[in-house]
Amino acid sequence: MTFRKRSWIYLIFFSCCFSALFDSACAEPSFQASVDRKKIFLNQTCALKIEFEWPKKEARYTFAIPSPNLQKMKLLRQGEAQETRVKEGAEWTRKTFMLEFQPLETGTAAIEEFQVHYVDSLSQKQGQFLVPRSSIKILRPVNLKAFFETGGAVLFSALLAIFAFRIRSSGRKKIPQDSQPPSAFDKFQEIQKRMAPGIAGKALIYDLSKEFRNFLAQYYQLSHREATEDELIGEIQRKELPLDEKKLVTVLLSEIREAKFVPTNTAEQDFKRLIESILEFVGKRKIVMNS
Amino acid sequence: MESTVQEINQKVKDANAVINDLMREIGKVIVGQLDLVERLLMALLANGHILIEGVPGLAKTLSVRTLARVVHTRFQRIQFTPDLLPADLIGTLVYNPKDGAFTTKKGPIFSNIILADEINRAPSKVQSALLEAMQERQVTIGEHTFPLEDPFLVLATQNPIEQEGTYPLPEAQVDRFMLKLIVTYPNKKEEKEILERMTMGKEIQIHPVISPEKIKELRSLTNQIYIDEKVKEYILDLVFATRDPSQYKLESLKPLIAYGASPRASIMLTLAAKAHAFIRGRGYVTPDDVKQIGMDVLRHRVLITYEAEAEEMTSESVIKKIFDQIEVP
Repeated sequence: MTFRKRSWIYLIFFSCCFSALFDSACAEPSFQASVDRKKIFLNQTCALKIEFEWPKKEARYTFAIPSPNLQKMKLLRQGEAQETRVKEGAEWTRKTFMLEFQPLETGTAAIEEFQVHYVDSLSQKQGQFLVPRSSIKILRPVNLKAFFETGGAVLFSALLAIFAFRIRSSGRKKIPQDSQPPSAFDKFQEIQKRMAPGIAGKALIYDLSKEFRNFLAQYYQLSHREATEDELIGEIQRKELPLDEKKLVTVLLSEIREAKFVPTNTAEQDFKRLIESILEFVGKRKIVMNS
Repeated sequence: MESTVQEINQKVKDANAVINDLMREIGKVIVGQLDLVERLLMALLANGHILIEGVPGLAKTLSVRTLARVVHTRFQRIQFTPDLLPADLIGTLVYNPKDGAFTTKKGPIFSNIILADEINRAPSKVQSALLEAMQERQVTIGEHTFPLEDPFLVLATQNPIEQEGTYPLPEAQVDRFMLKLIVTYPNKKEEKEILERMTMGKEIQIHPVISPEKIKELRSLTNQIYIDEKVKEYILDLVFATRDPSQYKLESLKPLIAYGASPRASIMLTLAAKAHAFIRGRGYVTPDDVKQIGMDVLRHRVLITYEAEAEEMTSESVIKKIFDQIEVP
């Protein structure tokens, strides 16, 4: 066998290995959940859109969407769709679930947070995503006929003119397009970037602690501001979770507690190890953080 | 600084063996009541006094007596009754007709661990004599002042029922107790164990495991336990919230609190939190230490209004609201 032929065989072999590794690294689909409208009238509906996306064109994952707990609303209908598209030269699959809700009364309605479980048919690995709580304001519907009969149209036109004038005079302020809140992972990455060489100051540790507790509070529905690390550990222990997960959260919270309250600053390598563990933990449990 | 902290951490861990020995020895006699036993040890470590409240038969007196037995010190039990006089407690001058001189006869307060049983049954002049000794750690008889031995620990009990003919302790005097403990009934399993132990007909043998010198050594170590600025601020927030709840978004508590906790509360909360950290084997205090011990430090220092009483609220429920609202560091 010539040298060139051997090189080709090696190249193909390594490409296959790399591809397999890449597949396992990207084993989790990305996730997004949002409500189409935050304010609706009583005679309108709103929809919760839950999207999953993963590389390659295949029906690799199965998702279980439970019926969420609702306040002042009812589930009207539910649907799903799957599409394949090409993004930056690669194929991606997107699965979308739509849940449409009908308001029952005026006030603040809510879709309570719920977990979506999925199974990877290739690796049989299971995972879960947390769909955060959404609140929707339900308004009394406007009776247009009565409105116009009482001369409301004139008042409305006047208000519209004032509004248009103010917009023009303020230089047509643009509404920011990118209003998506940062993911938990992004927040922890920001903290990681703020680490100065040498030591991690107390302020950084306190920020890390705050974000991590915020994350745990949202993901596991725990107390947040007024609970100590030990109380959070207690709450986690009482939850029906896998033993490994309980242990991991306990270790992370204990390490954060010690870093915060000992008189010395945390060494660079200790902080790096801690935040990498947190990033790994958070990376597997994707939620959108409330500010 | 770093090595010092590591040293303290290590020393605390090593010293914890003594605490475990104490707990084990006390546990031979006392079933359950883990919180009570822990708090008794904390008082020993933080040099504070304890007021224990509970209905009769909950092993309040037995716990204190057992503590005194496991500590190699002198112990006195004083039963407070309506006819008790200050001289019965602190001592008096006795006239000697042979030489016409007065000699001092020291009272039972000259001991290391004092059990003031049913403290609210004695009149206020006796209570004052005891509470003055607790604060000043000295007693004046005639023209002479005598310092009290170290350790000096007063563990007073009182009964929340049968209030006829009692003399409730004034607030200013209650403030001198580092902790006020409420002893509750044991659970069914514990009571079964009590039943089995106490009906055997033989005395349970326990041995002293700690000397006064060792107690002083442990106290010095407890004082060295590190408390972070943020934890100090947390303590101050809790205490200040009892005085001015509206500053902490607790406007609803304002009409319910007549008087908030005194600066002594901040001091006691800090000392008690250090002792709690020590018992947990840590060389530093966490907000959890403060939370764990906070109720026992504050419940007798926060006075509620008639309005609160009318709403069937207690100082405990007010303090709980404060703990639930104040953000932990």
